[in-house]
Amino acid sequence: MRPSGTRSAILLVALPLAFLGVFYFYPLFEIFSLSLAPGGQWDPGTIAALFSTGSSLRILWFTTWQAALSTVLTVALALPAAYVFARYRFPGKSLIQSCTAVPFVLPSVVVAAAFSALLGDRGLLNEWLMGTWGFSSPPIRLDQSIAFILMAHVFYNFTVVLRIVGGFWSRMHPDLSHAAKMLGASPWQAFWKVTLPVLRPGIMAAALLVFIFCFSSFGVILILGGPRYATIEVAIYRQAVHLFNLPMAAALSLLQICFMFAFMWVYTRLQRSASVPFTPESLKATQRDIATNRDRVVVWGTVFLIFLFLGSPLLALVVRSLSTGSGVSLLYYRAIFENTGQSIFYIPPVLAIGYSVGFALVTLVMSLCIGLPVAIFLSRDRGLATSLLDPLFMLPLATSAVTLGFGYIVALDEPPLNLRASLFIVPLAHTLVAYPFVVRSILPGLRSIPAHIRESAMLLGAAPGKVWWKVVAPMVRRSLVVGAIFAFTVSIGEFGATVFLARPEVPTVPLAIYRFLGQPGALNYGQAMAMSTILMLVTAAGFLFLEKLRTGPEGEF
Amino acid sequence: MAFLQVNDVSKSFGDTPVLRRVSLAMEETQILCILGPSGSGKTTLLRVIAGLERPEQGSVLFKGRDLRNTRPHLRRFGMMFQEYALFPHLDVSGNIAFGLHMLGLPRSEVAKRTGEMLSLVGLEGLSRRNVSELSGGERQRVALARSLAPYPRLLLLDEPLGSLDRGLREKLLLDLREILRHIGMTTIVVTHDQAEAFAVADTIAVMHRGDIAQMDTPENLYRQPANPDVARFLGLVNLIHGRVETDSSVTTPLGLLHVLAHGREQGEAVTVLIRPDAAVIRPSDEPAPPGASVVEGIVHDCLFKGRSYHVEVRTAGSQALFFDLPQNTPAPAAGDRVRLLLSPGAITVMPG
Repeated sequence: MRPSGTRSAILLVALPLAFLGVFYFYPLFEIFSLSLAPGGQWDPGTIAALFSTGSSLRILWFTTWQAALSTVLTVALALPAAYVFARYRFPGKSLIQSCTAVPFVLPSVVVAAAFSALLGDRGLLNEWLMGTWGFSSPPIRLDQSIAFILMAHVFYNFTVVLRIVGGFWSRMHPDLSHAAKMLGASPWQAFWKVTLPVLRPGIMAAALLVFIFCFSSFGVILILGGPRYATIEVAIYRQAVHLFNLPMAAALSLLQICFMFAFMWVYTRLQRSASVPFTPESLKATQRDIATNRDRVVVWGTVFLIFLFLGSPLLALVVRSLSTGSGVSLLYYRAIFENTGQSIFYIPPVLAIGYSVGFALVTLVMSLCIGLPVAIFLSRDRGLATSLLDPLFMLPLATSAVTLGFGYIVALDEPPLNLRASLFIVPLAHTLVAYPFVVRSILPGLRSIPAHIRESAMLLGAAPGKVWWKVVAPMVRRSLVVGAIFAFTVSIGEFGATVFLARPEVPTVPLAIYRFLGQPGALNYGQAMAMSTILMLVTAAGFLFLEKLRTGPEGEF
Repeated sequence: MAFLQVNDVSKSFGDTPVLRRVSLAMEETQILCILGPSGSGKTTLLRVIAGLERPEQGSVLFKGRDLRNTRPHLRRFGMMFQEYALFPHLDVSGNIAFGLHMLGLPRSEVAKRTGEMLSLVGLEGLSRRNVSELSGGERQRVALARSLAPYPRLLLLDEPLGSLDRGLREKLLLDLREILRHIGMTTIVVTHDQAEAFAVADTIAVMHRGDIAQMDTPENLYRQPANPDVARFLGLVNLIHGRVETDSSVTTPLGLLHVLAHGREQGEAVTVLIRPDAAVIRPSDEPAPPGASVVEGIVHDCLFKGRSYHVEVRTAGSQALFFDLPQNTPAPAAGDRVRLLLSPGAITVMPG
């Protein structure tokens, strides 16, 4: 490569690398040193305590089994749906598939609020049962139960299995299972001996991803689980915020980081093997139209059940936000704009919306500033540099938001980087979470521009900068917008890091919802519902707009 | 009672009829070839026989027994799919042994038969090979061995050579015929390639738009196609409209042609087929032998094809005729005026 090319390439990644160093590796390093050498001295005592005390082992055990059970349930429920989406063509299919992804992009507080609105003690179903059948107390007791957590996890991750396994399945020729039947296999045997083994790489990849999400579940457990249940993430938060035991929180963070890196490593390996096994078939060969009544029942029945399961909590949220003690009204929405006497805020909650939007806009700009140069750098094959830096820049994806937030607390608390009191610390953390999405959104677009288009622009007399503005930028404008919306929605729903970093008087919307949910009283609950509804509409609208913009049929997770 | 009998089978996908009241019958150890262009419904017919598609009407009988309620896995028919549908998660012997495991055979028996099948198709060394590492020809052989292993009562082959390249196809075609005849397997082959059909079949059923247009031995099919569609599909293109003159002659734009037209009424509209091997060039002064027809025209093009010359002749009525002339006669040049002698055995009359 020419020296000037190298120089501009280094310039390109200098800022992102510096950002990553200061706001990712430095906090990580501080977590390491706090857990391994709390007083500046090497002292593995905290780590040792982690493995010798029963409570932390219990936390680890609970984290693992709830994630495993959530994964099994999600796969079992989504597999039939994946079959329907893989094998049938039907009207509205891509829109329906987009809608199933809405829960996945919702902030965890909204999901928790939605389940509470439907099935919680103060939820719609209980309210109806009590009103109609005269129960004196809520007959469905799911608050703070493991069933509640599992349901929310399945709700959240349903689309992950549907998309990955469904995509995989749609590339598998139906003749494989026909061949098994012609060789004497019953439909059941054909499924167990052929379909399932062939789908295994896809199922494994999807299951591992779901496991990772549930393993690092925070908001759902914190809100729906109550004090009885704690994943590692929740434990980090409680140790740091409630008990001020920073070394213990750091030790738990270290544990979480190690697990997450190990899982992500396995996942990338699985993903690579998942793309090998069979020659992909065209969708024309593998999918059929609805022809018989049986097809009709299967397809529309499945779609109905999906909407019932994924839609009813969200619908309950909206209904609950509108139904007040005196009938349907906008009381709770109006209350958001007022600073009522019994409110725990000393500012009107509408300000939380303002802060959230402000943080999200700053995050959007910063994510583009970091993500765009990284994408441009990675879009050309620079040999070793690319293969090293690509996973490096994606590392924040493999780090849980809670560890990140905790890392900021312990790292960015003294000069020259004393940001504890700064408002800026929130969008900084959000940027770290969001910019990998920006990179992943822009990169495919950039890579797909053939070199000869740039070259012909240059031969037509355009200087490199001109080539960028006149040729490349217009071609990736769409993916830039996608990246920007991604950054905005990630920021507006972020909870895990924000809960550590936002100052009490400058809360974001998810934080406000969390606080409202934790307070007694119909007005607080109603306001939580109203704010959750607003947040849900904003995120869902942003996401559905993204889906419309996205050119490729399949999303990257 | 026929070995396999298809009665009045109809099937449509949505509003498109794919099979229209198809009937056929075949005997044991016969090799039947269903020949037709793509979209003629031949694969659907095969899948109906396999039980993978349910006909809207009609029945499939095996040795007189209706298969309506026998699901595919209980029919004990073997089927080789287009693109072969080899199981990607199993190796070569795993694929071949699949049907044997389904029969519940003991391990030793499975191993023995798998070995036999591997040697039958000539793949002895490849038993542990991953199927994704096989060449096209090897895949085809594995698929054949897999469908033969459980000794099916009937073997169904869907375009068995369709996805292979030309040279490989001819070799595998001969192997396929050899294997099927050797074990005396009753077989239905679906193909769109006439050469393939002529090479393997005892009987050919030509399908056209969801119906069987003609079913006969390869020789009879070639000599006496039932209608112009069948003729065209078999690559016979010299089709001329005419009217029956006498028992042995038809008037056409080319003049009076001598051809047997028994049982047809005088004045009946017919199509005359002149097969490409019908003609020889004769000097203009030589008298025509009795019974032979004479056609004159100008050579438009002449292609040397190795064993023969492929000649396009335009007649006075600017009708184009195509002939294969033996290469031991001197080749005509484009622009030459020629006089062609047509032997009566190579001309037939069809309705329409």
